[in-house]
Amino acid sequence: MASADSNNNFKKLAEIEAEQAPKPSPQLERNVMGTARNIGFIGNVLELYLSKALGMISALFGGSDLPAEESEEIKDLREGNFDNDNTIEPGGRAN
Amino acid sequence: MKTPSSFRGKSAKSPHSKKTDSEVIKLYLKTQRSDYFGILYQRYSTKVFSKCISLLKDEALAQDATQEIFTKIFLNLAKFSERSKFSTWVYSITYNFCIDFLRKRKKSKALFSDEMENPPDIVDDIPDSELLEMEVAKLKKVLELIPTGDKAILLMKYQDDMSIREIAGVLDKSESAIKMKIKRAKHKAQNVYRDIFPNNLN
Repeated sequence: MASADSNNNFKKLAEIEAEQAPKPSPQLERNVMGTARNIGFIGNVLELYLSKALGMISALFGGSDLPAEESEEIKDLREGNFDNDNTIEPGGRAN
Repeated sequence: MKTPSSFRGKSAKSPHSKKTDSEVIKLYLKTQRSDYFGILYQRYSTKVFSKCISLLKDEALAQDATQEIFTKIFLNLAKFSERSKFSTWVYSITYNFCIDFLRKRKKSKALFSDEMENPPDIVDDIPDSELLEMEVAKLKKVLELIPTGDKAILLMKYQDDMSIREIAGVLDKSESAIKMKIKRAKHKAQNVYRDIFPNNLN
């Protein structure tokens, strides 16, 4: 571990180099902040619209964009509650 | 869009300029306002740029590197865990980027002295004080003359107080490999010092 900063000439060297080194250009700051703003903007757009877009795509391919809620008919079929008027018995005879 | 100078003026007067790094990060993550990221940029851009110049030895490359490093920092800000200081995290990304860049550019050329030559088994460790108390101008000269990887590893340890584990994370090596690399880098630095300042041994 490094000893106290006062005896550490690596730190003094860092201070001297930071003072003497050219400063990053204003253009660099503009670029960095521009990138940050753009990424932030894209992130917000995705957050707002991505879920809707995914719902639409899902709906286009036959899924439902709503939480899966079984229709009464499907529920009946699953539970075996056949409507006597329209069902066909296992033997093949209509009721 | 704000100009950098107007932005600088605002952040300098802003009450947020007294906030700690982690407070600023929390505010940024909560509000997603790029101004908060701007405060972090103001705090670290000069140091990151200076490190890039020191490692890449080219101002134009250092500008590009600094831009990419800050983009990485921005994209990963949410992943920053306060296990280490923010400054350490920023410098880790800086070293990682520069070492990666030099590796890709140099392709087959090795960055560390133990990758260049058949390293002898080093038994005796050089006391830290021998390097830490080296005269600043001489230390600068020595660091310019040793391989860039060795320089980076010594800067990580002695300038930025990074732990062995943190350095291992940056270089993607085991902790024991890093300890050995530090030993070799210290020996390399000592040998270079003795070569260029033969009458001036510390």
